[in-house]
Amino acid sequence: MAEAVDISRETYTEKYGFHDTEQHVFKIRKGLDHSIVDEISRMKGEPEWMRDTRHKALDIFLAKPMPTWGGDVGAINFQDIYYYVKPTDEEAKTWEDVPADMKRTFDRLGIPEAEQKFLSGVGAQYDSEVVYHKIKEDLEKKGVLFLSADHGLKEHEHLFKEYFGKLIPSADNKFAALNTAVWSGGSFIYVPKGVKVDVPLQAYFRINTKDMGQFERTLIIVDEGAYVHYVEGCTAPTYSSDSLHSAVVEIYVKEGGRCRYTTIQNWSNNVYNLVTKRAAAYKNATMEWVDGNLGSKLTMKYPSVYLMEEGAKAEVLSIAFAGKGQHLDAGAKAVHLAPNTTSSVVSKSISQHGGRAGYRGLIKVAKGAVGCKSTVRCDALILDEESRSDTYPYMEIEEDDVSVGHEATVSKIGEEQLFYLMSRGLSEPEASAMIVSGFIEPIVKELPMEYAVEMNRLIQLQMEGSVG
Amino acid sequence: MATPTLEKTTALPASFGAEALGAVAASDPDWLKQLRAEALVRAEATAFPTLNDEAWRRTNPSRFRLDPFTLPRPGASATPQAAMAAVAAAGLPELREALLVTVDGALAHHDAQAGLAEAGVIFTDFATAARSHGEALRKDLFHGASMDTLDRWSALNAAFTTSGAYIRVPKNIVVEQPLVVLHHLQGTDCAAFLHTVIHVEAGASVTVLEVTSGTDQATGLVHSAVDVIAGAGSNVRYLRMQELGVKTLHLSRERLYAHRDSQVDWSWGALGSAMAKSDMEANLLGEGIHAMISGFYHGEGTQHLDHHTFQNHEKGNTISDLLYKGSLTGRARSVYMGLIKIHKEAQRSDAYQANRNLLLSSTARTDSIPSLEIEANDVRCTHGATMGQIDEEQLFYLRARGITRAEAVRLIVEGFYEPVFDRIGSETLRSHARTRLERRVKV
Repeated sequence: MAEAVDISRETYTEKYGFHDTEQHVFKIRKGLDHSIVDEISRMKGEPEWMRDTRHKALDIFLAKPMPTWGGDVGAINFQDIYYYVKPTDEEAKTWEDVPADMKRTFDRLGIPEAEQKFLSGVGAQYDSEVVYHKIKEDLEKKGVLFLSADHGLKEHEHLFKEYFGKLIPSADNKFAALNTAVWSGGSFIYVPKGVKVDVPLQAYFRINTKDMGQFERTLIIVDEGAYVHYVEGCTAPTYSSDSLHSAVVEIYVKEGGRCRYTTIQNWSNNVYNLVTKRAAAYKNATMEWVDGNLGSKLTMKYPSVYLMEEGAKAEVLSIAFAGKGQHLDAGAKAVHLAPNTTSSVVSKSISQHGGRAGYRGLIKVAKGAVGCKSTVRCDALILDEESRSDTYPYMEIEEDDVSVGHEATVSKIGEEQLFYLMSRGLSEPEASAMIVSGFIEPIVKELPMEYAVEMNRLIQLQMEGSVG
Repeated sequence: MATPTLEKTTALPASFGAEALGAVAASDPDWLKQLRAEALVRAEATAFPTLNDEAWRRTNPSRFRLDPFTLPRPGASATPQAAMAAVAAAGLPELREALLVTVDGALAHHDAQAGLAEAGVIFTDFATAARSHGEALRKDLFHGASMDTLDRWSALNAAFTTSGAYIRVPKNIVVEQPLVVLHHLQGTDCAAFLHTVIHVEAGASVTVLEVTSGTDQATGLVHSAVDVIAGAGSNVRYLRMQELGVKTLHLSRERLYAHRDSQVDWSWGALGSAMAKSDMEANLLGEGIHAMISGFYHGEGTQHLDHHTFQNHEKGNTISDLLYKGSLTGRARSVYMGLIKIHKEAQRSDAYQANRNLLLSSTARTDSIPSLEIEANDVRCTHGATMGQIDEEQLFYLRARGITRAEAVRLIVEGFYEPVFDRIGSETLRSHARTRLERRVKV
């Protein structure tokens, strides 16, 4: 499992950048139009309302202009993408039933090992659909649902329909519309009242097919007083042409509940990663996003929390490490819609070898949301003179009884810190690596231990020979 | 790739066409007639900003319209009494040694000690400068930029400037007394385009106070531009005050072009107008520059004050230090958007940017967007923004000492601004700024 957190771009191709020969059971023709949407919906045997939702979303997608801010999305050719590649006929219930090649892929990525060791449940998505899904029996008995989104819709249509697209409607943005039109795969999680899932649930997303778009849709409902920690990891083969990953994640945290969502995004450097993630936190609920961005060509992702009722709390920890050819436009949003709600954002970004890492965020305090507190802390390290760092924090405040603060610094590795460590016998690369580890430590310590250890090891690897 | 979704307006009202230009330019020298004509072509070729433009998303651009307004009647000039009343209202009676006053976009008064001219200092109004110092003014106006690089409002300013000032301090000359420029608006439905150009040559030093004021009865729109060119090793202290009446709209274009080793102490106070948008650019063009940029604003009623600042470090070993502080009561609204940009070549830059807001009513609203774009690694950049209300503990402390609530609030608000005033190096400018703010803040 730990292997999934590689930030070393040099070894990426060897470790994750491999691909299997294509072995899907169905691959739709390239391109996007209403007939493609119809076919995806028909293949999935969906209810009519979902098919209608998809068609309407496609119209919205086609009508909306491309965003002109953030990264450069101008080179994406929407007609040159496979929108649906079905890997298997059925989700496997046991690991043995997963087709051999896919099994080998996930073995190489360490998934089954992780499941045995420390997870409550695991889902593995390969191209457009989930090929394997498993949850521990005791949780199942307590009524915890952990299914692929496709199965969530089939087996719990009523619940699914109640929440689907309510937080992120199709019209929210162009890529949310695209996802709604062609979504496939993703997770559906329901944690009943008072149930605490004390070890994480994990989903692993893998793109295999060339020129493929992955559009998973995740829906998480944490009922009153419940808790869940969901971890997702993603990798893809290194191809010469670009792939598109555009997910939508909607999370509802009911009164007194808590949800932590950890992402270790490690896509190959040819993936456009354009994702909309949003949570609604109700009375005294807590939503935590731990968002690690290491891979992709371009990432535009700003996990957000809507603080709907009094006492709700949002915490976002964001990390972005951009290397050669990468533009990571990460960030966070907290929208305070109720009194006495709090939000805290800590962002750490690092850029090197010509990479560009940034923070883009919004703190909004709506009229009536008195007694709110928000702090945002962004730090950036630029490791060489080819690289770039951006900070774009937006604050919109409509109440006076608030305390909102933003602070940011951008710097290089301090000469004094380096000197201090080197005078104690460390080489410059060792000292630099240690400083970078220290820089991201506040976030790394929030990762599950296997990830944290690996993250630190890989930073040392990555830093070797890169400074000085 | 990008298609704007809001339609752009390109047409200009008929009263801002070639005929109006001819009237404004009637007594201009040829070079300026030509420049105005080029600027009008540019204005006609560009469009007014829309809500889709990032800089205008929070300040409705359609509030700034030209069609209800007309240009000042050529040749009109205010009475000396009106000019003196304006000077008194703006709190400037003590600062008359070097004073230039325009009323409703026309020159109304000009006083300058003989000593200035003897030292070779130019301190004159725009029209006179165009005739007597044409070549120098053209080079300094918009820092010599071609008209095709201007946005629509700036191009309109270039085409229709009716008044303003030109200040030029020759090499190594130190001007002791502050030079004061006052623009006053008292008429009805006037569109005034003003342009002040200040060029401080190498090693020279000057203090300038520029005030744009108006009566509460006055209606109209003021677009005022200032270009400050700080020569190598020069020392410039500049305070710009906006105290327009409650019905007037204000657009301000402020540009600093700082050259090697210059020291610039720039401050800006926005207290008046119905709606104001200021666009400030500090261009650090040489090594060794130290630019201190300070702003203070106070909004009440339904006032809307928008500030955009840009700290542009083109060269390294430079320092820019920006602090903007504001308070809001009633239904007032403020917007702050700031950007620090450090170019690749600007290694060893040190940039600081802070925006602090004090909210004094629950119906006030403030937006703050302090941004950074850093392309060099050996730099130190820090920024911050805060929004909050008066600390109840401070209030309690003062009230426990027998101070009324209103008085205590006033003291705290004044204390809030003190760090801004502390930065203003010139005693004259500092005390003027403080006095005008205290006069304005009634909480």
